[in-house]
Amino acid sequence: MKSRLLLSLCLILTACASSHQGPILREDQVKNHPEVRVRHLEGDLNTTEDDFALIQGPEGSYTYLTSNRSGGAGRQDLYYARAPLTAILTNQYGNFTSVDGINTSENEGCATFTPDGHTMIFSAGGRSDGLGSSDLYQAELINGKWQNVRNLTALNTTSWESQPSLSSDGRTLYFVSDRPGGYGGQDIYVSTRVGDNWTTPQNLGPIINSAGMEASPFIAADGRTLYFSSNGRPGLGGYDVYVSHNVGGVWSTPEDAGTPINSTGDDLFYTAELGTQHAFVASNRSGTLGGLDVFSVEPNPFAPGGVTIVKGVVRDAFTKQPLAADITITDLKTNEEVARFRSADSTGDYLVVLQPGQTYSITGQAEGYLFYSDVYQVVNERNVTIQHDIDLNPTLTGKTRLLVFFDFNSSQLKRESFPELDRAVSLMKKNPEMTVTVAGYTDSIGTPAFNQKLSEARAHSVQEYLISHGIQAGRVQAVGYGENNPVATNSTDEGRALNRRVEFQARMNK
Amino acid sequence: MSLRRSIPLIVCLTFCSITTASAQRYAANVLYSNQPLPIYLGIDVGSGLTFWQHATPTYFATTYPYAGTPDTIHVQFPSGATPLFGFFAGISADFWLSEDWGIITKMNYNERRGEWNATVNELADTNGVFVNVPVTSDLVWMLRCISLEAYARYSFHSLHDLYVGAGLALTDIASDHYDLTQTLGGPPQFSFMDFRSGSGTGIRSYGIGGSLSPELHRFFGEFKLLAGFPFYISARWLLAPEITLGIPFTSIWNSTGQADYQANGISNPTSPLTVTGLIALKYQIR
Repeated sequence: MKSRLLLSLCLILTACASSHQGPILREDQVKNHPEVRVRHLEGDLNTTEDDFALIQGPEGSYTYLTSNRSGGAGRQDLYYARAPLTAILTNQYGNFTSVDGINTSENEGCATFTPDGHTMIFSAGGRSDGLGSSDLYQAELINGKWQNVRNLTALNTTSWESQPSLSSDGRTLYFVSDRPGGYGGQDIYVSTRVGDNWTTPQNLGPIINSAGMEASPFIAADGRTLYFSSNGRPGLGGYDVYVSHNVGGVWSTPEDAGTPINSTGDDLFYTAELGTQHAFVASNRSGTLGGLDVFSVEPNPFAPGGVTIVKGVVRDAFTKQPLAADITITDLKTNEEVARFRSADSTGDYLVVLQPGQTYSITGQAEGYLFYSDVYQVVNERNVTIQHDIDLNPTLTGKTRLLVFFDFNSSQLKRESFPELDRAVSLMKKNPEMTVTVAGYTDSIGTPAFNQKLSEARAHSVQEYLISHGIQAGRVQAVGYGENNPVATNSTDEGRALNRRVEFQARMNK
Repeated sequence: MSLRRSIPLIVCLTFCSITTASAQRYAANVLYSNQPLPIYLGIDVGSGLTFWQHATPTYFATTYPYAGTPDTIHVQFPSGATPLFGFFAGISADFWLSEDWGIITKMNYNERRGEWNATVNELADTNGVFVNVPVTSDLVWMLRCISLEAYARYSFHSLHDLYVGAGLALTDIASDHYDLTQTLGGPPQFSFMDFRSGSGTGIRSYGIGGSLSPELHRFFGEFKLLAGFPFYISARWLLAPEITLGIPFTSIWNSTGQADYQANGISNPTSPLTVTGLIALKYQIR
């Protein structure tokens, strides 16, 4: 009888001690990264409760955290610190504060943000509009407050959905669900945003998902490196961190992050900050204050591929006051609008992340202003940051350079020009009292007569496009100025590129 | 409900609480779709007060030490509400069934000690002249019990995890013992009488000890109410002051005891209400 009791006790304790469903490996059976230092972070970040899902918040100047600590509105809540993520490493971030407008007496957490920081997707459970035990919600940052919280019903089911991670272009969302039809337990799903809608979530498949539980996906800024945790694969115990790369649309076999990133405890929410060499992981390994605590991983041995970051300020061209503007990114190869963000209301700051191998236009548009576009060809895979401020001219008697493309010595519009010209058509239709002059310019290469003709022909091409798309002929005048009125020197390639232009000069006839 | 029927119920409830807790998973949050239910093991230390309902006279049957008739006396204490007081210590387990609901089981050893004191005038026959002689009775009664308790618990997370519970308890009166001292007042020539010889013994105060077990059920059952408030002292440790109230649903008196009461004109013998205050130190093992 006693032996039976002891056996039962042992079984119960064994079941309690480990929830790992895959084979348990010894430390010498996983890859070790001796150069990596995993450090328990100090300050208000970690408490005796679960603290996890550390992520960079809006405008790069806030850090968000999910915690079960007391002092929130409910059980699990979202908290923020008024400091960039890098300040967490040096304990210079003050305190974490409960996020107003988001937290309720139920569970909230696991935030992810669009690059402009104006939209947050997060997990919440127990709400009256919830479909399952936890759903994905979206909120918008308006005048510094999170508002318009809504259930993303296209992504949610009556099962459990949580732990969203948004790609750096804001178009692809990875999250975890235990909905039926998966490979077991919790699986990672992906959905793509088309316009304002999300496509039906797709299971990432058996390469990523196991018969156990997958959790905390984080898609790195390069859009190709996926960090996630699983307890269904061979590991050290509990949840371990794995890394997979998307090559040509196919996910590679996940690589165990090894030691010291993984421990015999649960290791979750591995996140790599854009453009840095460190990462963060939440773990309940020994040395925590309690539950999950956040640790830094320095350096990150699984640093994502390089991206080009374009950031700057959108301003009024005359007053230099910051503007809240729509930022549109267009893939000029496909003419597809790949992302649309908004610059910060108060500062006009914008930040977009461009993947290598493509040519993009970035367009700033604001109510009462003419749009302005620039082209970026991203060729290398190194991390590059480009600072570029966008000055918008008021619609009233303003002018802007049109981002249009022609073949060499030709007035034939290339199809990459169409998104910009469509914006011009849209603007004129929206402002029926507007008339415009399309002014063509060249650089100084070639004879003045040839340049004059070429500039006139190109202006006419633009004029024809506008007219053929529904703008009355009388509202569009085309003028060629040849190599006159340069805006930069003609002695350098860069200067000549600026001088080869078509301007859109608007007048409002009231 | 009879005692015999309540025992299997309590045992079953306790067993079910363990198996259910092991089989189910913790309610979902944003971190886990389902996670192991927390289980807390605790050490309980506290003290309890056992009040006697219906503050009617309390009777204790005891044996008169001087042989003869009557050899059994019933000592009456008008202050029937005198509570029993004592410490207790035990172990507890809190099995979470969800974020709100759980089952708490407890097993504890508890002592309940009470003191009664009363002076009543007895008529003494002095060669045909009856006089009142004051007889003072001092009685100390000690119960040593083992209790098994099971509660359905609900936590109010919006009230800092204040929890309340309702359940059942089964108490085994492992031992009981009383010490009675009776002392005669009045003129010094009076003494207790040997009923066999009819003579005075010359003894004006005597003390005897014994057990009331012939009048008590070995087990009695209670409905229990519980309230507690956790103070989290670390990730896995918490300290919780708790208060419980036990309302008996079976009598502690057996038919003999009840007959004694009924012989004294009390058809419904008093039953104990038990209030306990305790501190539970709990450790989360999962």
